[in-house]
Amino acid sequence: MINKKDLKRVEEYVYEIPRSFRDDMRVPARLYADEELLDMALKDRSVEQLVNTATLPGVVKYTLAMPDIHQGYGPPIGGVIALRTSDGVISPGAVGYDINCGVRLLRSNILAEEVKPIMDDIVQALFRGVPSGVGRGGDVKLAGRQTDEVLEKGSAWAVSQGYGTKDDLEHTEERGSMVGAEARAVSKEAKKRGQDQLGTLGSGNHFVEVGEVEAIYDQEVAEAFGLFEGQMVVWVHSGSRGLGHQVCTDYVRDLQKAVSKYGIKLPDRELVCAPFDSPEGRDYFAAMASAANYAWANRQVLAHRVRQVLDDVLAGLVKDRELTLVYDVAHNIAKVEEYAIDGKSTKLIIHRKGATRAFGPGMAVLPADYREVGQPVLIPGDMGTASYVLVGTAEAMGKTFGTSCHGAGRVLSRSAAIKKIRGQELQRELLEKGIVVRGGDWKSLAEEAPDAYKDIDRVVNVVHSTGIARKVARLLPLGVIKG
Amino acid sequence: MSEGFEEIEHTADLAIRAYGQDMRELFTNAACGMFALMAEPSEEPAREREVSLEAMDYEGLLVDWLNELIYLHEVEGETYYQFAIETLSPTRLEAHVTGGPTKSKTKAIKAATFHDLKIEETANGSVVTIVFDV
Repeated sequence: MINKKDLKRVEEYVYEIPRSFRDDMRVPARLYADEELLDMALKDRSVEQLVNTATLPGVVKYTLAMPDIHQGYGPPIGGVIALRTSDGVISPGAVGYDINCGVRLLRSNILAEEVKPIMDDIVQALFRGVPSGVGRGGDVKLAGRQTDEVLEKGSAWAVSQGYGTKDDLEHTEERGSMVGAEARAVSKEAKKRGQDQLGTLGSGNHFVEVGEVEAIYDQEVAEAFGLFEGQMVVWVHSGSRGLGHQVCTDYVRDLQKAVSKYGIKLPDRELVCAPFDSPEGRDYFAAMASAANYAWANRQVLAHRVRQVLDDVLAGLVKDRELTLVYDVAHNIAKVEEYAIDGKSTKLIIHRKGATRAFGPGMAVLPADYREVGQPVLIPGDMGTASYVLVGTAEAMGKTFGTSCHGAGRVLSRSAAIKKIRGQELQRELLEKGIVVRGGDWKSLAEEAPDAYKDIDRVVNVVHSTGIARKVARLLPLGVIKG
Repeated sequence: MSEGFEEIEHTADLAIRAYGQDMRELFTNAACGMFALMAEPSEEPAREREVSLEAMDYEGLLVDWLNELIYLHEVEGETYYQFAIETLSPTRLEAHVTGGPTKSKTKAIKAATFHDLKIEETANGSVVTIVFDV
């Protein structure tokens, strides 16, 4: 068990577990948290999981956990691991099963006040029009070569089929199509699972949410992102569905052999890995990038459905019903990026597990309209409190490998949430606050209750205060469909 | 526990502890425990599947076994309730599983993980904790 005394405070809201804490650590481990978030993290095994990530071969500088840290399997959720591509490893377990689980935010020229009176109709229409829930298939059926095209082209495939616009691609991380994807690296089992799930939300914490911009903290950046107070926006949170789960399952299994082949010692078998520059590592990267593309295509099709539903339900009420993509970010992914290590520009494979890329101003990979201000960092909160839009900073590039948090982070287990909270009561309570919620079943709704999550304001305060992302806007939920 | 498995606490995901007097019973109870979290089958018509797996050790085989059942559950739309394990060595498993079309789903399990996975021998048999990503 790790205690507070094992951590050293290196600056306000940043704690470090020194390399000397455990013999197998190759670098220190850092945790971004305030006192209360730190206490929460120390209650379960999240910090031990963070320490485990510091043992991976080729890891540089320090491994990190964001303030929304919570216990996962392998690394903690909220974990960031940077490893040299030359002699470091890539780990499927450290990316997770929902490869490129991520979130996108759509903005409108509609005022929230205009849609609040019909929020019930909007939520019902979204629930009917967007396939969600455990194992529900969608209406896009991929046949023959189509699955391979989705895997290799991602969002671009979806746009070529009429799901969205070229402008959507500009405003998606990696333009929704990751370099290095190769469909041949994805098993036939994974492809089979992906055949009828494109454009489906899935279950768990996935959702579509209609929200309102409540407050703007940075006018200049908000303008660049097209956000204004009182504006109606829509969030879409989903991932790579069964296809991504199977890719991770396949490679966690297959790389077990690589661990002994390359003589790698691991504190947890779920951190299974292979050298990035090895046949096994290259295959996993090609498969992971393919699954990431599937996830981007999935969110692209989902956004198209949302646009169709809202266009229909708002016809006659508002004239301009266009929904424009602000941005789409991945929060479970491994990517090759370059950072200065010991004064030398070094190629690293950055694993983000429940963490968001948060690139600062001037980065060439950002869309032209955001390049001067920095990347939008989208932080969805729980369904009853608030969400944030932040902007990436130069500090993040130096301190956290251009990374920030990804959400509020769970604090209650699913079974504890079900014991404490009843789905029907929760729906009523949220309605009293003006939030219309519809889920597949009451239990799943209770599992995702606001009380099961940390305080989003507290989490965001830590990233804002440490400068690894800056607050731009706070948003409130109005209507939510949960998977 | 009389059922041979129990659900245990995990902040983000789900975990079960499964018991067995021998390895076959442990594998069977782990599968029963997983499906108890996931779904209910229709009794008719019975559907049968063969599962054949190879792995490095019992732990690897257990994870593969559960993940193979998750795969079949998803692509075949079936939920299994009877597990006849015909061959079980540390590196090989052959089983005949029986189930029915899935009647209702309660929880989508993405995968069985290796996290903290260790089959332990006790005076009463074997015990293992399995963390599932949900």
